[in-house]
Amino acid sequence: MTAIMAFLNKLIWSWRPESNREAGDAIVKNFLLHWFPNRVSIKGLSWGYSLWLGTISFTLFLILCVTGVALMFLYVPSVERAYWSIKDLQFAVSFGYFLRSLHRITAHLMVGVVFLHMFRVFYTGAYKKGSFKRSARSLNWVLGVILLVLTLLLSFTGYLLPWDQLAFWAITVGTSIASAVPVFGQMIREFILGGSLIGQNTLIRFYVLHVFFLPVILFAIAAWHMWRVRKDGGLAAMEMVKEESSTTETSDIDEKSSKSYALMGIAKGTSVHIYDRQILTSENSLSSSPHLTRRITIVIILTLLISSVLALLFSAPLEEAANPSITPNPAKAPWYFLGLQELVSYSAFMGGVLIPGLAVLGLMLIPWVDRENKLVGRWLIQPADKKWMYIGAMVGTALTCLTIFVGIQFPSRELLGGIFSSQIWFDILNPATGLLLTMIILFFAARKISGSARTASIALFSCFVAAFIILTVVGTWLRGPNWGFFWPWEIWPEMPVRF
Amino acid sequence: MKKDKIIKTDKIIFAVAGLLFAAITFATIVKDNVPEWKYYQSEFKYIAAEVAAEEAVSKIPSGIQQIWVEDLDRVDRCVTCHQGIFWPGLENKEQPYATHPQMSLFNDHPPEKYGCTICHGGQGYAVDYISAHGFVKFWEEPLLAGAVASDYNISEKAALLETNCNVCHRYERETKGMPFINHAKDLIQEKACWGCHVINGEGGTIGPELNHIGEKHPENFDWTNFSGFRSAFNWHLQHFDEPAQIVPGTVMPKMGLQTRDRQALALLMMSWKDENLPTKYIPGFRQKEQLRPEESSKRQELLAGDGAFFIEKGCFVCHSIKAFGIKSPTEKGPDLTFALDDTRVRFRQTLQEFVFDPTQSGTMSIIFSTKIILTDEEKWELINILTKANHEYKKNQNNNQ
Repeated sequence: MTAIMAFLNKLIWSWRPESNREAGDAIVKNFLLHWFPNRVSIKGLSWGYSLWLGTISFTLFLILCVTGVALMFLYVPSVERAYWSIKDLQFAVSFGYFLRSLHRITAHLMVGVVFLHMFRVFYTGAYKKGSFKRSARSLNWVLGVILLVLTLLLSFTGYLLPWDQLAFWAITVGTSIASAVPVFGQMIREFILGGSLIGQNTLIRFYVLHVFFLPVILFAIAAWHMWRVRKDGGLAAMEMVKEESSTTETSDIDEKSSKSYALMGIAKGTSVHIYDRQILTSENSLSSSPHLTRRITIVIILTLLISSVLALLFSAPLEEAANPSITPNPAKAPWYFLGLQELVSYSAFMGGVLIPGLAVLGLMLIPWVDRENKLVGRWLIQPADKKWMYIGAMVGTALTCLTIFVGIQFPSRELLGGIFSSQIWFDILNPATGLLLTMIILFFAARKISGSARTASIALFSCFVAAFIILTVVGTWLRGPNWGFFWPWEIWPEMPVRF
Repeated sequence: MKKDKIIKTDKIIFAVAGLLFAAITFATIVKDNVPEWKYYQSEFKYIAAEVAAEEAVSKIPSGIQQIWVEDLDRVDRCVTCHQGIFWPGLENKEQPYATHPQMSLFNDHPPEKYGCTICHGGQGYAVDYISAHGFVKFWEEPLLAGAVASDYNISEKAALLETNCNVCHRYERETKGMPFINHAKDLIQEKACWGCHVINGEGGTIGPELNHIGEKHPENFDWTNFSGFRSAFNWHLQHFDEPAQIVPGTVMPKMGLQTRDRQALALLMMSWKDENLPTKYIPGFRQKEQLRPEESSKRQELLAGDGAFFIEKGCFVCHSIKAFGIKSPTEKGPDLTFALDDTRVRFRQTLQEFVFDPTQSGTMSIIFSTKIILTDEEKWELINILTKANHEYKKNQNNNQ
């Protein structure tokens, strides 16, 4: 009897601690109680500073996990059954269409929000080291870029699973880009597809990547990403708070006598939280519970609310069952790759390999290109920065429009076909190369004129964002059959039917 | 104070967001619980009550209903709304409650073995009006309803359905209840289409092969010289009228076809699909072994000779019959040439007695009662043949000596 009671007591030990030490441990070792700092600055909490994009993207990820696990019970990853299991979901499963729509819409939203999150972090200069000791915001920026790539891969692998024409041909377009890689191209493509064609091997590979491999990696890195935010002293807005709080001098702290508590006990050295107490006063901060947790709950609810409404309004598309012998015209990649597909239509190597490769590399290297450790955690407040943001965006817009115009009016293959016969020439002499070179020139020109790497980065980044948006818009709405250009008011040729 | 204001607005936003979320949750639940088919099912109960007893009405199933045909890999949920199909007496009711107009078809085509869409077209998986009838984007097999027929000025409502009938019945020269397709098959012979085209596996090679022309994707037709509504069916209609206008430079002659001829032929074209069907669903589908010439002529000889009876009935498997030159592959039983004498020696019976009562021989009583069941007429035929064979064989033997 006593043994059973002891066992039961053990099960609920945190409710009935046996000693004061155990009672203390229950608090100290509780992860949830340490998720958030004790106090948060009002600036960091405000809606307008961070726009809560990180929280929104993680919430979207959690919605995707929950709906995804539910979908795993109903989806069959086989070439014969995949499409029809989606039809079942659509028509016969309770809430099936909603589940699918919600999963699809949150996936698209997550890609969009992760991009926006990156834009916000860039324009607030939040990737800079700042003044906190042992802060490594540049590392967190790199983690963020990796998370962006993982998000794109997750969305892309999920795209194939319905096994309809949309899925099949989007993946055909997407993976054929891989074969543009010099030397190893064909090998890489076969590794991704598990063969030379998209079939059962590809489906199971994409499925396992989509439901296990990539989410687990993304979750781990996202956890690291969020943990680093704490370790770096909170959101970069803290830099502002710190400068404004004239009352304290952080150097006053006796580092040797101050201890930092970490999850597993006492941490080595002095962590940022020691300074928090000096910077965050009752004037400029609020206690996390309930003010931060309430806001987070609001963000979660609103994210759920908006995605649910969108899911009810826009049901996820499902085209004909995948048919390798019929190419839908046009065959388009997922929207976030349409910018690249536009460039690929000029040159597969430039648009599919070099430019996206340089873009990811360039994004990761931003903290090292711009090492000016000032104005951290502020939206652009310098007139020069603002000016160059507009210049960059305008140059990007004009340049991209020009690129598309040149691409349509003077197809390099027709113009140069008579002179050059080798593929290398088309890869070098095409509008995408022009776009890339002009961007590089813009960066150096901006740096020369303004004398600041930060300003030049802003110009280049803005140019990149503008180009990305325009290319995506053109690829999504203005490209029709045979990748021909159609204005929105022009009607695409009607597709014939059986009866 | 600034802080108080933040807290106050946050609480309001929190409350509003919570309420909105509750509302959207409620809306989602409501939307999922009022599908079209629930309305039709509840209406059907009243309609069925007019012709059936209360007990039968109370047994009408509710919820999504489906016919799953594993052989055809089809799931047809049509019966979710069309609950009256198998109920006699509802012939004049409006859809989806009416009785099937041709119940007699179910004798040869039991619904559980065929489902609905294999004949009617449409999207069997779907359970709402528009998607199920297949008049939606991304569904290539619409319901072959009378409305579609009248779009092409075909007066018979069920004409288009014949296309799907002929997916299975393609090897039959004539099929009951398929006037259009039968007419088209007449035309194929009359105009000797097989002269230029491979049809059902045989024919000339001047024109393209038509074995699976019904499978050709609409996008793969040549639409450059075509005007009007772009459908594969319409393409065939116009092409049969003026082949050279649709495909310039074609050698296909203008056949001088009437409207009905063209419609029938176009329907036939649409029916020649490459549907994945088990062969048992295809009447007239014969699997034939290719014999060597000498094997083939030997079999013909045996079937044409005096001993054909023993070949057809399978006696030759165990018994040789020297008199007819039949050699058994197993020789398990005695040579039947001498049956007339054998029965007397072995069973003390005349051949006639033995054939009508073979109980003396264990094997033959089983064979005659379960495997080779002969009518009285056939038994007399057997006795006559064997008696004659015995006499003639002996006569020949004597002559030879």
